[in-house]
Order: sequence, then structure tokens, then C-alpha cells
Amino acid sequence: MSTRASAERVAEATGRTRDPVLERECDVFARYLTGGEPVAYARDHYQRAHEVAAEALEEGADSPLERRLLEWGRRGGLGLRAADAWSRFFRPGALLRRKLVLTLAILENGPPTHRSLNAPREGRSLLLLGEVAGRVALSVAALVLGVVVFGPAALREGRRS
Amino acid sequence: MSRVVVVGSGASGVHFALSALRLGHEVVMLDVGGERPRPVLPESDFHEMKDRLDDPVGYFLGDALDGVVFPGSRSTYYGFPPSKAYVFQRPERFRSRSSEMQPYFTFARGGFAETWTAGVYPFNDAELEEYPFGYRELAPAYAEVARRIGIGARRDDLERFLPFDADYLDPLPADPHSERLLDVYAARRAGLNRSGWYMGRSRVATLSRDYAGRKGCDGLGRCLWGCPTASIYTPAATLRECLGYDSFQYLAGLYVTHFEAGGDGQVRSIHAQPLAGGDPVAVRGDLFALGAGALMSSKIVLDSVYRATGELVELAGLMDNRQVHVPFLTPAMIGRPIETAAYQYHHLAFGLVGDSERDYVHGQITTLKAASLHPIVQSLPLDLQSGLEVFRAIRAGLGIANVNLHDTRRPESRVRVEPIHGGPETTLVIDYRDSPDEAERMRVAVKRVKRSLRRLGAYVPPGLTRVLPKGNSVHYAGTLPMSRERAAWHVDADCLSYDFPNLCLVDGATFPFLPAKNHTYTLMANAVRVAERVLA
Repeated sequence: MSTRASAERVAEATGRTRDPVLERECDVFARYLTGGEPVAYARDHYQRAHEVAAEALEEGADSPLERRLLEWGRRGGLGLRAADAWSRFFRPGALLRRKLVLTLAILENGPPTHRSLNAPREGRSLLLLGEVAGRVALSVAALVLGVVVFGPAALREGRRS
Repeated sequence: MSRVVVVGSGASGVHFALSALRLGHEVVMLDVGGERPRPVLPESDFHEMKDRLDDPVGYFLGDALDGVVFPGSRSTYYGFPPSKAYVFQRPERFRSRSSEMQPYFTFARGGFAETWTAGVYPFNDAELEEYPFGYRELAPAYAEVARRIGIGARRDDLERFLPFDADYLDPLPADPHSERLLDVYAARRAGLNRSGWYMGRSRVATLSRDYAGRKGCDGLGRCLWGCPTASIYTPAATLRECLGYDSFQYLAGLYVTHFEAGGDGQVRSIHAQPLAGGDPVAVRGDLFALGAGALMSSKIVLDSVYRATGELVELAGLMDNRQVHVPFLTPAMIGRPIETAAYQYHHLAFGLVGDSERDYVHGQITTLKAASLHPIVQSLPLDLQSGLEVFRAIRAGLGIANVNLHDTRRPESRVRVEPIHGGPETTLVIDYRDSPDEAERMRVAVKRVKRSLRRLGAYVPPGLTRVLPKGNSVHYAGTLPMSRERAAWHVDADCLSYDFPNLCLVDGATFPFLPAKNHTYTLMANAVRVAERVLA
């Protein structure tokens, strides 16, 4: 019951050809969340999700702001973090955020990533709390960048609607 | 010996049936009876499953990805996993509509108790005030149910609200986080009690040791996905016991549509449609017991009246406990080792004294062990990657308090049926309205819970408290209530209908008041009480 066998089984079952855009998207999002490349099994499930949950993963895709968030997200790095942080507060149901949550759901349930994602951190609580503070600061910085980049577009979209 | 026809195999139906069988009666049980799939890899824990399954993502998220909680799609921290989908599968012919409430329906073998978190909390005299009997009459039935299902409990401060009269088993060993909260409670008990907060071990129908042919909990951490060792009680265990009697007949795959009564009001037969197709089935008997759950039993009564007379009756008084999830963080637990593949449900319960005994607020405290991460991580006010890292850093200190509020019968909360194109088939229509004081009761209760948690060294982050949608607790009750006085669409103290004298309602439809506690234990106990009074 190897991971490779599972990946092949899922791919065979769906009989799909891979969409390179979705494949790149999955790679970028998985790297963002776990620091590593996804295995073929995760990529297959990510692709398959866009077929079986098309409604949940396409709604809003026509909006210029949604497209912009997704474009920034696909670049990875700071752009992805800024788009993600901004969406969390100002557009929690954004397409980008839905795709990120989907990626996390797949990675937390599949090998080899599930163990590391599910493992609680152990150690001195003060050190961990310090790390938490650092993470919060990073997220706030990303949010500020997100406001600068996406705020005007969101305002324009709000005015139009 | 009489022939007893029971509808439904949920918590009420199976305990009523078992009592009837033990009293020497012949029992026929009619049920849709959607079956639980066989547990996969029953010896593997939560994490091992993800390594060993061919397709773990398919198992945990479902083929249609129903197990993914997308942002904004739900307001809860977890949903029912795909492995429990069978509980909510409906026959095609069943139709319902509701306003202001999102009711769940089940047609599964075992009913809603297939998904419960096993909390068993007896009602006390104050909570039974509107019932035509008190705790003393129910106590022997509670004790009988405790013997049948195996309940872990211990004497503690919760005895003030939860009578301790049955033969309970030892509770499961508590996890370190729950132990910590109990230690702090013991140290600050006097002050907390003065503020009305009492805490102790949850009473749960989860076995701490092998009992009655079921295995003690192995701590596999798969509770939410379906205990593979049956350590958590489900009515399937009692149904198996019933099946050991020659005088028991279990007829699954039948959707009960209505009953027919004679001119004297005596029910003659119950009618059902085989789901596999074919001619309707009529089952005759001497006594008929509806245990299909408050909503479905109500529909059967309403449809029977409609089919016989054309009259469209409304049943008022639908109740359901409102629940609030209050997540918290215990900083002192951060960095401590915890076992995530462990018994997943609550080890602790609490009671909050209200202005009157009816205003008692009950809750359960679940510390975080095995869990789906993505619903929790996305709710943190951070980008997802930072949220994930923060979650892992504080995970050992996370928990959730599930706060329950009582509900009362009100005329504006009701069920009725609407004929489909004027034919015999109907749509069940559910109108539920909040009690006018509910929002305020909820606000006060949540504020007091937060304050008490703070005294226990646990802090509630702002903005993360969730009021669950109406109907979420599935503690439906009150549509055909017990009453001392004869009245239409009521039942007597023995749950026999005043309208149909040999029709017995054995589920939550008969409850005239819904305390802030999980009512499943009382459903089972009342079914045993009724069987012994009506059939002995």
C-alpha cells in the first residue's frame, strides 16, 4: 500500500490528463505550507478536487480581484503570503484561500506530510510563545502589504458593485 | 404475550424493544436501517490509518470532498466526516422543508446515537418538574440502561446536578490537559463554586475496560470517524442483543408511511414501503411504539391523520438545545508532550448554576487530540502558513468548551405536513423560532464560561466563539408531549397517546421540557420505564 501505488490508483481511477497550471499551483501552495514539494498522490488529489468540487473551487473566479489574488498567490513567496493574509480578513471565502485550505486538507491526510503537520511542537513554552509572536508579526506585515496591494482594487470593485 | 411493533432502531427503539423482549413479548422492529460500513483497519490508530490506507485522502475527505471545510462554508470547527455519511442518507421519497432551523434527519440503523459523543447525564427532579413523574420513578430505568451500555463516571462536584445512583464503571484515564484543568479547579474550587461553576469528569458511555461483549477503549483517536472497537456505545450493540431472541424480528429496508386505526382509535396496523420497491407492507400488532425520533415520529402521526381524515394537524412545541463552541488556550500546556492518537471526546464536564434551577447551563470540555487541522487553522486570524505554525506550537494547550442551553415548548415552534400535489405523500414542514430570551441567556452563559475558564488558567481568544446553527445538536423533542391531563396530541405518563390508546411514543417527542443536557441517556431510560409500565 505504498504512496506511489495509491497515487497511481487515484490517477487511473480518474483517467485524467494533468493540468499543468493546477500542478504548478499545487506545488507552490504545498511548498508554502510545508516547505517541501508535494508527492504525486497529493498532486493527483488536488487535480481531482477541481473536478469533483468544481463549484466550490470556481465560484468567484471571474472577479478581477479574485483573479489578482490568485495570480499573486501562484507566484508564491511574499506575494502569496500577502494575498493569503489579506484574504483572511477582507475576503475569507476568496478562491485563493479556498485552494490553500484544500491543499492543507489534502496534505494533512496523506503521506508523507500528515505526520509532520499533525505533530504538536514540544519544548519550552517561552520559546514557543516567542516563536508564535514572531509568526504573528510576520502575518501582520504580510497583511499590511496585502492592504497596500489589494485594498485599492477591492475598493474599486466595491464601488462598481 | 402480545405482539409489539416498534418503529426505529435508535436509542429509544432498541431499549424499548429489549425490555419488551425480556418481559416475554414478541417484537417486530421496522426500520429503514441504513447500515454502518465495516470499520477499515480496525486495529490502526488515527495516524497509522493515513500511512496504511490505500487512499487516506479519499477516506478522510470523501470521494466528493464532503469532508473539506471550505472557508465560510460552515461555522463549526468540525463537521461529520464522510465515514458517517450513512447516518444522514435519506430515502428518496422523504421530503422536508424548514425555516430558521437546519434539522438533521437520520434513517440509519442506530439513529443519531451513531454520531453522538457518548455523554450521559441524568435529568434531576428540577428538570423533570414538567414531566408527570420525578427522578425516583426514572432512577431504576437509568440504572438498567447503565448496566446495559456501560458508563464511566466517578463521584465529584457534578453530583450536585447529576444524581449518582447507578453502577458506573471507572472513567477512562484523563489526558494531561484535562488533568491539569482538574488540578487547577481543585485548587480554586471555593471561588469557582461561589461563582456558580462546578466541574468534574464527564459521564460517558465509553468503556474503560471490556464490558458486555464490547472492548475497552484502546485510544486509537478515531472517535469522530467511528469507533472501530465499539468501545463507544451505539444502539447497534443493543440491537444485536435483541437479535438473540427468537421472538424478535428485525425488518430493515422499510420506510414507514403511516398507521391505520379503527373507529375506537385503536391502531390496527402500521404501513411501510419497501425501499427496494414492491408492494407496501402492513404489519399488525397489539401495541405500536414509535421510536423514529421526534421529527419522524411526528410525521408518521401527522401523515396517518391526514391519510385517514384529510385533516392537516400542526404539532407545536418543537425543542432543540442551542449549543455554543468556546475554544480556549491553556498557556501552561504549551510545549508539553501530548498523545494526539488518544480518546478524542470530552473527559470533563461542567455545570453553571443559574438564577433558577431551569436556567442550569451544562457543558463539556474537550481538549484537542486527534483532529482535522484545516477547519481550525483557517479560523485563526493569520495567513494560513503562519496559522499552521502557530497551531502546532500551541496545540497541546488547545481545547473547546461545548455549552448547552435548555429549551422550552413554544407554540410558534412546530411541525406540520403539506400534501404533495394533493396526494397521500407529504412534505414535513418545520418552523422553529428562538425563545425571546435565548440570545441574552447565551450571552450571559458564554461570558460566565469565559470567566471561569480564565480562573482555570485557560484563555478564550477573541472572535473565535461559535454559536452553532439551530438544529445542530439534534436533541429534537417536544412535539407530542407527556401531560397529566388528557389533551389532544399529547401522551399520558406512560407515553400512551390520548388520541390512539395503543400507540406509544417512546422517543423525544414526548419530552415536555428539554434541560441543557444531552438527552440520549434519558431517552433510553424513559423507553425502558415505559416498556416496564405498559408491558409488565
